[in-house]
Amino acid sequence: MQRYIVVRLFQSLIVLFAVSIIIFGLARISGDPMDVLLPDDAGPEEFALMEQKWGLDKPLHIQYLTFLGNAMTGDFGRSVQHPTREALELVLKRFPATLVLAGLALIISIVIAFPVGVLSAVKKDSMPDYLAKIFALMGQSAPSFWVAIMLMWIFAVQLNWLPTSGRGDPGVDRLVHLILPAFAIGWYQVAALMRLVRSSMLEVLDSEFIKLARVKGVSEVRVVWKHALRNASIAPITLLGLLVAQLVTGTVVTETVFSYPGVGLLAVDAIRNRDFQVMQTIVMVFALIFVGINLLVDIIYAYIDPRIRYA
Amino acid sequence: MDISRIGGIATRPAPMGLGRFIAEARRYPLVPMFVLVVLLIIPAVFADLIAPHDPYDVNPRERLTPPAWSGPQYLNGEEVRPAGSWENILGTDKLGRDVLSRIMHGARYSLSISLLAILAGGVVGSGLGVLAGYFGGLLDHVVMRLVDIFITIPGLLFALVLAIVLGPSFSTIVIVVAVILWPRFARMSRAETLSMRSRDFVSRAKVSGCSDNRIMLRHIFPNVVNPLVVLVTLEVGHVILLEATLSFLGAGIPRPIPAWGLMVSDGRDLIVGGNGWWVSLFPGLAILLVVLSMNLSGDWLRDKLDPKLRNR
Repeated sequence: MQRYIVVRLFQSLIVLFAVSIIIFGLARISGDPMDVLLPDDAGPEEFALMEQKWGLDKPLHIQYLTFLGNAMTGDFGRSVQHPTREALELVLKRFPATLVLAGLALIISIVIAFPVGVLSAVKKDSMPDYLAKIFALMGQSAPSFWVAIMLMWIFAVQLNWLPTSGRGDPGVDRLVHLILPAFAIGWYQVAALMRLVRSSMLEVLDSEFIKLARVKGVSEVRVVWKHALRNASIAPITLLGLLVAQLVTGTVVTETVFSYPGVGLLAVDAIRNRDFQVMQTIVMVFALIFVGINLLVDIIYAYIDPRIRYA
Repeated sequence: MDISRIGGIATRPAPMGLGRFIAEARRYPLVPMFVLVVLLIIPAVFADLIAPHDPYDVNPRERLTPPAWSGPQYLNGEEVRPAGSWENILGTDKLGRDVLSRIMHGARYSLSISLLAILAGGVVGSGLGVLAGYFGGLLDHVVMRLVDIFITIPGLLFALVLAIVLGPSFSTIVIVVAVILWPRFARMSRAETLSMRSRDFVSRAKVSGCSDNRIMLRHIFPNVVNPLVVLVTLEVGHVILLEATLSFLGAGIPRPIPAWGLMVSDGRDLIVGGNGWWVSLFPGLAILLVVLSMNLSGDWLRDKLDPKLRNR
């Protein structure tokens, strides 16, 4: 187990290195890195300062090491939009809002996907199963930003039940502002998760130990929700790592639609203003979290299923 | 000879006419294919001929006309929105441009971007995959680690950085999507190549003096093509969604080009303001229907060509 963790940790570090090299490289393929690092109206002294700080007069590998060193101490440079602010500070300030949104979306999707997936496996080929199937197919095919806008149109504009945008004041107002965005992200995740729960439930329900439990006279509720679901939830758990990747996309898109002031909205603003410093910070922070969560999922999975760690 | 009498068992002759035609037709995904032809292919090819208006034609007097079938809207007895007219069947946007014509022209961008991106990602990915699978060793190691890295990181992050560096444009989005796609092709073609490499016909080709290039191109690649074709059809829907998402975020096609994702984005503020749901609704519906049909046709093709891939 220890060896497995060390190997996985090492692989995660390699991924992070690769991301940093890609970002570093991208800032330079466009020619002069000054073009992307500085605003268009920058003066000569800013150029000199930038050149000295990032070692731009030195060879490329020294430049990379300077970049990496700065990045490790949390120095990603200053934002182009807000020249007085550190890029990392801007990103971290927006972070809690995004975390709450992503967390709620994940909870919603798990709470919906598991029961619905189990039910449609138990009542295979019934009306509810078909409805669930159609829903999953729609979830895969509908553009998430459009679903978010349509939800906003129906529930916020037409019915006027919920606010259209923003984050609201601390307290209950915050929660009210979270409902629509969280469902807009969750819808997409439910579709993926539900199908997997359904198919692995079908597989488990067909196995010998379930038949034995039934023959023994265990109640159907217990057979389905305890014996079967326990064994069927291993595959969906591994999907969680993938779902986190979708969460990243989901938050960026949904925050844009609902003008929710999180990291995603910051990213879209950064595109509009060509704010490379902020964007590279966002990518590094997201990559760090993403790799961390995947590492965690892998370790948990290896803990649950011993076959993995010896593979 | 009457085949209905073979073996002394009377089988009913296949029903002729309409009944048989329907029975045959049900075996193909006709509805999805019809949707694809009507919503994607015909508009993409003939947009200039069939679009009722110029998609760039700004018309301030016709701003935000609702779709043809909606009546006028009143607020306190005053007309705040006129009735729709058949001049602009799906209404107009805030600059008075015809939504239907823009959707038709948008099909061009969706189709051409996804085809180009899949071509680029597919050629690079499957090329590297076949090379890695055939030669093995260090090359295989390097390629597969790269694939792992690109698959682990959410593609959107690359896309956003590239959009800043290169600036949003047609070629940027093709590059971005290709970068996101290639690892899947590499992974699949490598796996297929590995299973081919040890087959007899490959070692015989080698003994008879074929060069490595010839073996890869003439002997291995044709055997790898089938699953790759399936992968392509399964990816098209995904790529159209990705392109729309990037355009929506401002990292894809720049304005005023009528890309579907951009049109939905243009309609967002109108929906918040409560003065024009149609600008977002229709292009989004077009994306939904096209991607849905693409996925259904892809599933069908996968089952047809490669039963091994079912349930994946």
